[in-house]
Amino acid sequence: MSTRGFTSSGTEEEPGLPEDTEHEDRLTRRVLLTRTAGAAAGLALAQPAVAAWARASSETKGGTLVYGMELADIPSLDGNVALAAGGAGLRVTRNMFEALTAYDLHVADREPPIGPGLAESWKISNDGKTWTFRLRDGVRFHDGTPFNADAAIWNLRRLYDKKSPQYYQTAASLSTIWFPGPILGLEKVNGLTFRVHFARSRPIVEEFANLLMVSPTAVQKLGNERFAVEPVGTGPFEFKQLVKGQKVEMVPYSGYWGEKAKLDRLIMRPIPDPSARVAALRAREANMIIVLPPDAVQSLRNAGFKVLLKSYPHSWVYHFNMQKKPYTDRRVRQALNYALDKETMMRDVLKRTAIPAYEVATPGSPFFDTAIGEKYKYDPDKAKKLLAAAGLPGGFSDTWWVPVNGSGEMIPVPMSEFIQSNLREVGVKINLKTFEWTAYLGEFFKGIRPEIGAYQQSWGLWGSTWWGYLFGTIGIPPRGIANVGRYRNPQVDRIYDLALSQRESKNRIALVKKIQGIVMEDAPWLFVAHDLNSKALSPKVHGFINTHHWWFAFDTVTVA
Amino acid sequence: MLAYLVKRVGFLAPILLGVSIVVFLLIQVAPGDPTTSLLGPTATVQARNDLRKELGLNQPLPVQYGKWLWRTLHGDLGTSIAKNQPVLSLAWNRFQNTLVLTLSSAIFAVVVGLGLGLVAAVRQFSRIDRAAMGTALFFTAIPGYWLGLVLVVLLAVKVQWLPSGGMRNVIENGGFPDLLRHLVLPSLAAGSVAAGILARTVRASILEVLRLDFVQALRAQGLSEVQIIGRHVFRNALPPILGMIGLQVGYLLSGIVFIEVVFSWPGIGLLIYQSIAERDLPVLLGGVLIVSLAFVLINLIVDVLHLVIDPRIRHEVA
Repeated sequence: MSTRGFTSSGTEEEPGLPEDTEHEDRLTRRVLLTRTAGAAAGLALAQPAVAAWARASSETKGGTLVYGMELADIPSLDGNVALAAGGAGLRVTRNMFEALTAYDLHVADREPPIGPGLAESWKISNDGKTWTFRLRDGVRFHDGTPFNADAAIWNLRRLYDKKSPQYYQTAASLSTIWFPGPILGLEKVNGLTFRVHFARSRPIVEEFANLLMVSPTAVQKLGNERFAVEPVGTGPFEFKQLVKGQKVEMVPYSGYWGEKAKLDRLIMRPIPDPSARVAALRAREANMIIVLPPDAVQSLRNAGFKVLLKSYPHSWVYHFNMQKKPYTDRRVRQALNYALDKETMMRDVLKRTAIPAYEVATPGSPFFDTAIGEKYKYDPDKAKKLLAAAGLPGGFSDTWWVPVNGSGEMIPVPMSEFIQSNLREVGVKINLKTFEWTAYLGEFFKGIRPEIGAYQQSWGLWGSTWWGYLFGTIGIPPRGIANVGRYRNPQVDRIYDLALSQRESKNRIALVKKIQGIVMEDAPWLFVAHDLNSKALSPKVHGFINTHHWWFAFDTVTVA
Repeated sequence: MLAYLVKRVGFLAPILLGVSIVVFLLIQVAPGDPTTSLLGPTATVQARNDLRKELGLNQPLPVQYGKWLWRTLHGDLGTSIAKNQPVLSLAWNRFQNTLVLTLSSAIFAVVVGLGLGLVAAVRQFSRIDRAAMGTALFFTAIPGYWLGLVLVVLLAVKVQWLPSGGMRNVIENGGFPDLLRHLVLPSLAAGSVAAGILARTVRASILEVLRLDFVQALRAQGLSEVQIIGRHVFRNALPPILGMIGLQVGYLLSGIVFIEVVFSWPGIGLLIYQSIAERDLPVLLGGVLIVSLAFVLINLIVDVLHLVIDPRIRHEVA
């Protein structure tokens, strides 16, 4: 836990509310009144919406969780292909599928560590190029077929071997986001052991935690199209039913190798509009929702709902154009960072659903560095001095680009307008140009245009590889895409290469922290906010573990 | 009349062809392609190029369009890029949901619009007239999605009489009554503007007929007001009302996307909206094609109804 106000109220998981709170009582009375009123008015349709709900949960022990997600539709249910709908899509499939290694989503006080998943253990050769995985014995897919070395190899070929009959381009493209390959060879040692040969040293175990394993038998039988609506994996929940556009339902897998999920049913339904999600929770048609409108947080708390806020790997930033004057001058970039009053922005614009970004990494991340402190805390005088020292005492004018919406983007326009007003106070006049998300991404990937001062983006990343994509030369377009501002520092490149070759994660973390120290000083970004991944739960939901991560699990949850 | 029908149906093909070309070109003009939305900001250039090739996006535009047209003429609308599902089944499933909502909103709009318009016309300048026209004005002035949100807060969140969104209870499917309960709020929100416009049209149209000489003649013959309005005035006032109904149902169909978002209604509007964000061209083309087809068909039905009720038009066409 950091010392930066992270323990202040509103950023910690709230303790579960007792069942018989005043609010609960009030609601029950209201429902009763409603029932009477409805009957009196002869409204045949006006059955309380909660009736079926109460029936469903009284008959069962673990209860039914209805999760209102931010998507407009049910994503493809084929393991990694769900990523086509963004991280929110994977939050659906990760209940049904697992990977060779796994995030321990039962850890709540820090970023979930990586440990054994479908693989029980692994050995890495001295040169780091060959991995030998030993798989867990007795694991079966939901269709009863065994998960073994053949199945694992078949899956990796589906993603990385263009010559194999099961090679699936869409899944492959989406998987290379996690792990770019290439894989030189796959070799079966015995029924439960196999080797992966890489072209270069890749001792990074987290990459395997994102390659979800599907049932080869089911894919061969159904084909990719049907598999996307009738998925078969090894996860704690198995697929039960899909009602197109309306819901996907899962039930605990009775043959699961690990601790079995407690819920009776897990239902996920798309509710794309944020206010509609809040309404569904309040009307008891969902008992968990995600991505709250900032304005709803306080009223949901007042109404007795559990509002959960916790940092996870997420940074909302502007990339400065490192080849354009005056951003070529480090003092200017630092000045802009000092000119931003992040605390007020979090309080007034984001209603504390985010925390100020004082560094790249978020609290809870292994790369989070308490030594950095509150870097670039609001100091307009210092900003003015730095601008004057850079020969710009009167400030300057420029155009910045920002999307109006998008994955992990929070409320980009109000946030940018706040930044605009802050910068105006130190003489910097920013003209904002806004875009629809996909149109924006299309431009973004090409790298920042010479005439534009900064591009906005939010990054949800974890692990060490991303640091090179964001701050290394390998990330500069057209070779890469993430380092759109074309920040170059040979020292960063050197440390990054060294970090990736480390087999001890401790050493790798120390080196990445070093990169962060350099980046914070160089300020190639305007560091703005870390989102707190807001969720709201009905007081009847118990046992939910709120992680410092994009992923979270439902296996410990009950609804009473 | 048969010749007229054949001619009208014959117009369908060029209209749909034109629509598909416009949509196809518009999406090409917009920056970003499906690989950008599919693979997100962190994909490699290689991954993006591979996928582009796989999806056939590296081919020249006329070739892409020609292939799409050829497949469509054979009843295959292609496969969704983002969902990897056949577009026809995806879009048809969603269109049926939209049709359910459109029909229910249209029934609401017609019943309320006719009712308000009729009482207002019959009791012109009375308090009833003012109240009815006030209601109609309220309906036309209030944006549907705003009304939707307010209704959700009042009827779904506060008193919990009706569900706040969705098409069915996700925990337990309650059959047709359940569907009806889910239809009330979105239909009200979607149909309110059409109801308001219809009410004003009905009032004006009936008043116009009431001023005609034949009404005086009927009164002189001693017919009751109910008989005069029910049997003679209404029928004469119907052509403009029917035209307005056709137009409003068409608007309902195309404008229902806001309502579908607010009420999480799994309709085709939401599907098309999402396919634009994802640059999922096959879904966008297929979806727009189906909606255009429905729009044109509704107008055709209205025109045929005109023929049925108005002998003058029948005569003109003949």
